[in-house]
Amino acid sequence: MSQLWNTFIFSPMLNFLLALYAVIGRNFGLSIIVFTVLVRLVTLPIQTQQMQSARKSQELQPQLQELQRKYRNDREKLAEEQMKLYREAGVSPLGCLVPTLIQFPIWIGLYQSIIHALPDTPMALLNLGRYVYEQFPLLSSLASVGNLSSLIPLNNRFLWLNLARPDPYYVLPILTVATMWVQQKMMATPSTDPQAQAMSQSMELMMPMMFGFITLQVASGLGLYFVATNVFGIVMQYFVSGWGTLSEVFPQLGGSRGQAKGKKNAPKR
Amino acid sequence: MKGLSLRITLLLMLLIVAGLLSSCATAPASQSWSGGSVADGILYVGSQVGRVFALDAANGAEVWQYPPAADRAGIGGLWGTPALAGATLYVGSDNGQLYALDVNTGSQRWTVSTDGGIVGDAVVAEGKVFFGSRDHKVYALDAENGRKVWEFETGNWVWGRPAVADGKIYVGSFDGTMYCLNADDGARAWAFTVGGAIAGGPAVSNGKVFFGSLDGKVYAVDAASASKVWEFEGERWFWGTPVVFDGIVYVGSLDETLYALDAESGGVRWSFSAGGIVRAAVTIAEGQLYVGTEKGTIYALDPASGQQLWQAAPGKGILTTPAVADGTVYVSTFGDALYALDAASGVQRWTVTPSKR
Repeated sequence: MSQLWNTFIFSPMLNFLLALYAVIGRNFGLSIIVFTVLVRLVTLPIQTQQMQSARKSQELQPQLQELQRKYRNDREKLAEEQMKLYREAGVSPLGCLVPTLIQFPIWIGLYQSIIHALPDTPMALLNLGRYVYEQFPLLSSLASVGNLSSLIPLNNRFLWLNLARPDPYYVLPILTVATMWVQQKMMATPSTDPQAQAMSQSMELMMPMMFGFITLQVASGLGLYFVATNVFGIVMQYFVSGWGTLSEVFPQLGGSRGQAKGKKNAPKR
Repeated sequence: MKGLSLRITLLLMLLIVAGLLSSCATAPASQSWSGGSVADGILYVGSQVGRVFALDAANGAEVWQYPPAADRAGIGGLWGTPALAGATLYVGSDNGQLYALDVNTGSQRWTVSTDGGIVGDAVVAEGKVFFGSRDHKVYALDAENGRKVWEFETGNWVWGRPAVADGKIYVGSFDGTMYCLNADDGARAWAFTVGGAIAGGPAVSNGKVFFGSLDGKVYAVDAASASKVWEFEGERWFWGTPVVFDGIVYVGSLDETLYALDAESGGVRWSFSAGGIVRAAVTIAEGQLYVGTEKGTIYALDPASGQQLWQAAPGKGILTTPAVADGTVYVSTFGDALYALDAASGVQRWTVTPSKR
């Protein structure tokens, strides 16, 4: 299983990242950002499907709440009516779960590639040596580089960062928390149920804090990936559903395209 | 509430992924390897727990350990093979310090700090101890008291064991350059740059410097003029220090092959498919060549023909150079286990894991 993973996911991603490093002028920070954007562009159809599914679910919230009120003493009937509503609206309740599951291997492969590309111990170098391709298509013509091995060790400096070490000034952990929180807020489903709202708000804080904590401890190359992928997610989310509940926190953001679009497409009750 | 329960599920999944990611992002600090040196019936070896052990070479019984057992903290990852000179043992640590220990008692004589981890072996010659560091520098210290005689800065990490010959130091760097320095003052005599990082050390023989590179090549360079004599291209990285014996250069590769190259021409005399990565240098002693692989197999070969004499698979991961003395081959495997094998047959005599006693 691990051999299949390494052959088809991890190794190709690692070598592509190294090739990108060669083409982009041996700037590994920039390579991580470009690689993140490229990977997210490749998975764009899946992500769009996920966001649209989440938006449709959001639009059904008033009807779902109405059903909950109506059948609060009959759970079986409630489940049946909910499924019926989902079916009629063309929404799968697992619609946003499946695309996320599909993206997990890609995220993990990306993380592994960043970690392995910056070895700082002999063991890490040996591990890298197992997976580096001796030949990479078009590399010599694009970057005047004989092979990927000649790039090692990579230049790990980017701005103030040593990409193999945690950020000493805590800028990346703060950016990770901020960008992830913004993304969470934009994705959040408004709810009239105070209990649901409280849970939702605590989750919106918990996840960014958790990733911020991870960024504090791991190589800043990973932190850079977190920030890059969050910023990409924010831009995408804006085009799919606008500022979402972020405009409740920052009213100056005003009515967004997503909200207007959401209202226009809202099902009639 | 349906959307919320889905989000809780997603959050739980993300927590699991985050846990996996943070665990694979931070490799355990104890993952290191260290080879052994034998002298006067004592085997000296480093361990993953940051301790140096002196063991009775006859049965593996502990003679001493440094730091002493009462001191629970180790001295950081030990990657190199301890260097022995007179009554002093020199060993570098990943914590950036070089330790000089009394070979009889294991007590510390002196220690010197560098600004980066020490990965390679130290070498002692002409009253000085020479070694490289991850702070990009090569150091020469007075072997008696550790006083710095000189330092030389390269463009990247120095992991390989320096070679000393005719008043010169030869040392490779991850900046892809082999440096020749004056042993007395560290002044650069010449530099020879190749197409990849140089992770291992060089061998000097008959006026030539032999070394491998991560560009997949072995080079022979004239020690006086720094001109290239020949180069040999393998399939993957060359990391281990070459060994020269009877006009043949023996060097292993990450392509799982041990190459025997003609020292004059670079032509292949023979090659041996080892079935696993050959990271470390080979040992030639008592007319036999010993080579270990990352898969955990050790082979005894005829150095002239490459014919296999015996093989043994004592443990997982042999990433260090075997030590040979008095008809016994000492192999250090990944995970700190030591094996003593009969040099003639490969039969195991004893095994011990000093860090787990």
